[in-house]
Amino acid sequence: MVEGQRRRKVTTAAKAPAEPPAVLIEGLRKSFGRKPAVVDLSLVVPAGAFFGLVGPNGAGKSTTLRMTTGLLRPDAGRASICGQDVWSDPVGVKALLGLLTEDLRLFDRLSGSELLTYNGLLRQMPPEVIRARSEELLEVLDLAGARHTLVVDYSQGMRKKIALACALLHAPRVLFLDEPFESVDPVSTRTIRTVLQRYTLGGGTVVFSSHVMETVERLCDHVAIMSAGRVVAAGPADEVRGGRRLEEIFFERVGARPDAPQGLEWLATSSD
Amino acid sequence: MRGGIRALGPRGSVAVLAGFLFAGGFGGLAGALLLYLRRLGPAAAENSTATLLTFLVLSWALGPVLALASDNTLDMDSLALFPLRAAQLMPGLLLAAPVGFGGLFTVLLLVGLLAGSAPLGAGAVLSLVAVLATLALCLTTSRLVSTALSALRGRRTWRDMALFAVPLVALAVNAGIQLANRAFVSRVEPGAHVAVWGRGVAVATASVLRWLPPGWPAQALAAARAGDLLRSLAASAATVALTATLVWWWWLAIQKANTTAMVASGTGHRHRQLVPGWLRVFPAQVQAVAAKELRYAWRDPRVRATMLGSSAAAFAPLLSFQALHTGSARLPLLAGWPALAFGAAGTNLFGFDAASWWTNVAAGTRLRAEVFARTMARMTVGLVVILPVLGLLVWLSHNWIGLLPAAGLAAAAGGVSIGLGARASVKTPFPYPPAGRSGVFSGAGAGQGAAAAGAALGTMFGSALIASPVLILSLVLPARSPAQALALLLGLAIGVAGWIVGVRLAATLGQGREVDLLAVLSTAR
Repeated sequence: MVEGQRRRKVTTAAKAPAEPPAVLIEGLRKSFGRKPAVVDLSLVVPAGAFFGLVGPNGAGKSTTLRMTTGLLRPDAGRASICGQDVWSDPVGVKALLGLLTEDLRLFDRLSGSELLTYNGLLRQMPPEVIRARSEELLEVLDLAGARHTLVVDYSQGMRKKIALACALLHAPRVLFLDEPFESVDPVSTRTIRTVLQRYTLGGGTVVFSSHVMETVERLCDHVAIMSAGRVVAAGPADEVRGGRRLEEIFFERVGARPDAPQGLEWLATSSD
Repeated sequence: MRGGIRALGPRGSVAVLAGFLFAGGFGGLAGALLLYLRRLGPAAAENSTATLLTFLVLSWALGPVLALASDNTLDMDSLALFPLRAAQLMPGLLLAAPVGFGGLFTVLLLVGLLAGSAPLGAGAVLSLVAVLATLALCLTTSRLVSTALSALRGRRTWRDMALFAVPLVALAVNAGIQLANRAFVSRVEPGAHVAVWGRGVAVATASVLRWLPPGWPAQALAAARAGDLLRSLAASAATVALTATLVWWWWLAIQKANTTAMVASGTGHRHRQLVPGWLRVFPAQVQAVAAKELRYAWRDPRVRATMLGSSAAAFAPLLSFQALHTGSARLPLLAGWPALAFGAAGTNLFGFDAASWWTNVAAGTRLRAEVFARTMARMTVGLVVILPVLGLLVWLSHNWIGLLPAAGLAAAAGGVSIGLGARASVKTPFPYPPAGRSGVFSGAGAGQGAAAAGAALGTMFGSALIASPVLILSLVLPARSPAQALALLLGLAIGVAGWIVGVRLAATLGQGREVDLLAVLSTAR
């Protein structure tokens, strides 16, 4: 039911020619020293899409997200959010997006409630709106009992959820999530998934990176596969899959071996 | 140890070598000074030895507490992963204990003690026994405390406390040195009341310490020197018996550590509004950043330790000034120093937030608001530090008018140094290591100390120069004249102007460079 609603909405959004894409990336490039991290990357994320960016470790997913959200200056290329250029109007663009980073480095000496207030004030939201939304987010994300606990004492799953709450607080139009389901227990995963699905039903766009194919396959209506800083496949999920499993396509495109590695026979013996 | 040095790389190896040279030099010097014990009377020698050995044993006992903040090698929670029993672990851990700077210093000190105390003949053998018993007591105490505390490593609150203990211990040591200094000064100035009191306290303390366990070897050494071999043997035997008891206790602690899971901390916090009422007159971004800074001044152990350190740096020189005894009407002007020192310590305003600062950039926070809020929070904490000093100085001077120029000088020095510090923070930012498991004092990048000290010193000298007209005006005017109010007004004007100009310079310099600052700060790992 939810999947069907979302696909209908995306199709409708795709038919509206006046609406700019949620994210438009053109020729983005970044090197660290002499090592290229992202090479001439171009992508279009339609408004209202649940977009999965997949790739092996070191493929350049996080770097792409950081450049697209204005946290890392690209060597070349441009990115825009809902038609606004990220680098010519950084403050205006940042009001449109929410971000959850992979490493979850937060101001963790604040309590969960304080962290939400902090983020809300930084985004210049009225205090009463911050208060109301914070309470609701803490309840929905099952963090209400830990609202006065310092974030440094949160579990990994709780940190993901409070970071997601911070990213959602100002009701952004595009939500960027870097590995949102990594190291998260199944209960928290389901909670986060439900919140994200509700968000896209409301018209929001989600762009998330992952290397867990099952999650991407289950959630996303659009995917892009990255390898060595390049996009090797992108488009609506059904088109990219072509009737096969996403994992098969992934292994095929990134050139990885799906079979088990040889050697290590000694692992079968006991260590006595 | 060899593995540790290899892991540090060439620069680390040089640092370790320098550390050994320092420990060796300092230990050798201390040991050589102990030869002077022979020239003291028996009671004075015993008191001195008892105090020294208590300090030594306490240092070894406190070592693991402080090491919780910096060193995690040989932790029980790591060793528990290996299939080793307590009896197999104990010899290795005991032998590893004296390896390092502390061990070298201790051995040199004890050699000096032996050379300075031991008589010839059988007394020499008993003195050697007493010194070896001291070494065993030090090592066993250290290992026992280290093992007993290992279960607490998982608790965040405990690690925070341990981080805070580092500057606290440094302060306590500094205070002890000041007290000892006063005791020596009393020989030169018998009339100084504080000095006489200090020496009295030192003697009374030592006479108690000699009866406590760390002082028993001192009794053994004194008895051997006096030819009372039986008493010497009894005191050493008592020390050995105590050490054996500690070894047994340590064995129990290892058994417990090997079979008990670590407990992570997770305490609730008293709920208060993030933004205090007085901040609500400012724009929202200023409110957020300033309120966060004020929270972090207490909650982040790295910030707390730095605040304490800079406060100590502000207070410590005042303790040494003989001027404190003069009752001079100009005495309150000394308040300019702590204000200057505290302000100049803020030359890397973003350093502690290096890892999390992306939050502010992602939210589109204006740099001007950031810098203004951070400096305002620093000024608030600075007021809490400076006001007691100011009050104390005015009280000592018996010159209430002195409050006016002193407040003016403190405002000028503090305001200008905070303003210049803000500019330095944007010009040359660098990340402090995150408050991770290994603590704040580990993993700092090479050269960061020099960069920080250079910026702080430059800010301090520049600020002193700009604030100097206030000092000059105050000195030109009669000390108890109400005209000193002019110095207050001038100081306030210079301080506010310095602060605002500094914030503007910082904001202009960093305008549009937030992402580049973030790139520099994001190197924190």
